[in-house]
Amino acid sequence: MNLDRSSLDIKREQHGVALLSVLMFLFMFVLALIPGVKAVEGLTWGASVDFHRDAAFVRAVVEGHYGEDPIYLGGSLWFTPMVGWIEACAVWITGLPVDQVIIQIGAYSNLLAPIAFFIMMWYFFGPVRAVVTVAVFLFFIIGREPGWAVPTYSPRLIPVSFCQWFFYIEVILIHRAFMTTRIGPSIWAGAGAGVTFLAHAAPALIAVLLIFTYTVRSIVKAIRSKDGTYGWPRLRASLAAGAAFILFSLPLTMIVVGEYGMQVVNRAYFLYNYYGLTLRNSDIFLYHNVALINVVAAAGLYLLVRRRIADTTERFELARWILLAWFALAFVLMVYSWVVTVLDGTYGIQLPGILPAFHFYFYLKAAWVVFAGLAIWEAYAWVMARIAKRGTAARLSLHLKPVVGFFALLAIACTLHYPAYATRRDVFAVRNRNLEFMERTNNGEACVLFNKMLPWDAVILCEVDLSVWPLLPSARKVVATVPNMGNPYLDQSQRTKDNDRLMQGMHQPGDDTRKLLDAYHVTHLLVRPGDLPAMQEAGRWFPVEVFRNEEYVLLAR
Amino acid sequence: MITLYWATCCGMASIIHDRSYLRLALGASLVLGVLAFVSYRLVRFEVPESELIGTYERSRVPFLKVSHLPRILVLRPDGSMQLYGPEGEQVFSGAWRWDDRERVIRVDDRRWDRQIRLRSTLMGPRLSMRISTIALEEDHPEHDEEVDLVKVGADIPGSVTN
Repeated sequence: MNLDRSSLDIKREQHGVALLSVLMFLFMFVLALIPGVKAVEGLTWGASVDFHRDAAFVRAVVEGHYGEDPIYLGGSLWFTPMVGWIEACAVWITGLPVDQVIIQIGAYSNLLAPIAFFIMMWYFFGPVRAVVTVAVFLFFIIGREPGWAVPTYSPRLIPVSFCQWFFYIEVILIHRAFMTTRIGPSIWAGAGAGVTFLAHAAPALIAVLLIFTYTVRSIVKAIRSKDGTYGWPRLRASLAAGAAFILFSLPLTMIVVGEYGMQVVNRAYFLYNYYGLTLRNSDIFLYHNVALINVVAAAGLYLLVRRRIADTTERFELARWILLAWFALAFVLMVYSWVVTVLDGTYGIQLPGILPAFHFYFYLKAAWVVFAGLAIWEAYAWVMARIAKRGTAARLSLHLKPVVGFFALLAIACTLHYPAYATRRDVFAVRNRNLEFMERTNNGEACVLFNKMLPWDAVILCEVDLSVWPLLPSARKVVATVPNMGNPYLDQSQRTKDNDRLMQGMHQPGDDTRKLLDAYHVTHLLVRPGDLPAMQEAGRWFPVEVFRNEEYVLLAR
Repeated sequence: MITLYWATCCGMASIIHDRSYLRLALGASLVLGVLAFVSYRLVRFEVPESELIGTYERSRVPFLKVSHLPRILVLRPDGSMQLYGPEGEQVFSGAWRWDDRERVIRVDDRRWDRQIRLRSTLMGPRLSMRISTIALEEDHPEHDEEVDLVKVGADIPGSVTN
């Protein structure tokens, strides 16, 4: 290779840097893809309860009941529908069973996350820093944590892991909207936030708050400087963004706002606390987070706050503001959500909730990835400036030779780290959990059977554990399920009480059994064979045995 | 996005028309391809069951308590395995087999089945044990933290305390 500057002018060198950056990205992309594909190879079912919930919503679409709650009869859509749409499309295109699509598709669909992250970083900071941040994103930030709690490529199509890519593209749209007071870019940003909301509420909330805070900041600045030419156009553009957000989020908001008035009754939905964030497991938090990469990221945050990051794209100031605001908003939302959970669980104090805290921890870490990547490049530039008497970080990233050296070091680091990465728990343990689940359930036989055997509006009375498996993924209704899988806009505690009373009514005569069976339109009773002999009243209410095997007995009224 | 698209297009167009770019692209692709192959080989290699036979001692994990786990694991060539507690008391005895495809030790007891696996490290493969005592499939929050098991010798028949 002739890397002599005499033969390559600056512009051509920049093209060379861009070319190498794309090749580096492809190198890391392939390395990440291999364990991802192997993690889902041969799987037909996923063990995760999140997969069961998603399967229920996919079956609702596939069976022509979009907009209905697949778990509670009479309920409406309450979960962000984008993932369900994508999976339903994949089922329709491939003709594969719902559950096989759900478990397999993530290895491919989630590749959009590193792609979007790379695009975002290239847009803000140029190709070299895009490469190093993607390396951190793919290989180094995950450390010892579960893949669903950290922004990285994970081979599971669950909303938290998949939908991050919407946010990274949305951040670019927000930046473009803020660079001008024209309405067009703001409409794009608002529409992007609306689409993101259909995918996942946490990134959409951060995006909306980014637009809101920047608008307030701009208007306050305009008022202070008595600049009438900026404040109103900015407000007008942001209002257009708000209108676009509402319009594009309508497939979900028209139901959760129109039908439920956004009144969350079932608090378990947002009280879930990732075990790595609980006070009881502070040792696990330390185990996950006492890592060199976090020190590097902290250094990157410092450099960004102090404006010590080189500007190569002339977008630095606004990019800096967006990054810091993203970080701060994710932090505040995470702490607030965590406090809501702790106060509710420990003292019974009920503050309004948003989402489980780990969703914001996820985006806090996404900003953290950016900081770490920026710091690594700055550190390299600093060393080069002192050892090789090279120029600043900004100038270095324009020249081929220092970039080749940097990429070589990065590629070696990725290679050396790869054995630990490729056999990380996120790949290994999750796969083995799925294999064990497939063995135990004989490839989900019972769920498939009940889905085929029972009509869409069948309501099955059962113990709550049976409502999760085999009934939840079958999209057949129950009286009550586990609180965090139930419709957050319906009274879960009342349903749980009624379910308990009905199950009690199967053991001994109860005054309100008939009334409750009718109120919930119960059509079937599902029990384990060993439990049935003790249910002396079951035969009275459910005289017809529809199905029996070693695990389950299904009776009908 | 436009920048990336433009840069990629320029890069590709330049490769076609400029031999120095072609050399750069080919050279970089070759080096990265070799590194990708090396990476893959560092992870993917056969581990015969005979290599696993031996006695292992639980190591330490920073911040995490692992004292509830067995301290010693013995994998015997006859397909039997024993787990011993901190005082040398036997806490489990059963049959094991090596699943090379999944790189996991299968045990005929649900508590220990798929709890010990082989993970790759830069220094070579290493056995590690799940710290959580919840059965794998029932552990929905996925407490999959692990502790390494360090090989301390070949199979020691009888007591592990000698």
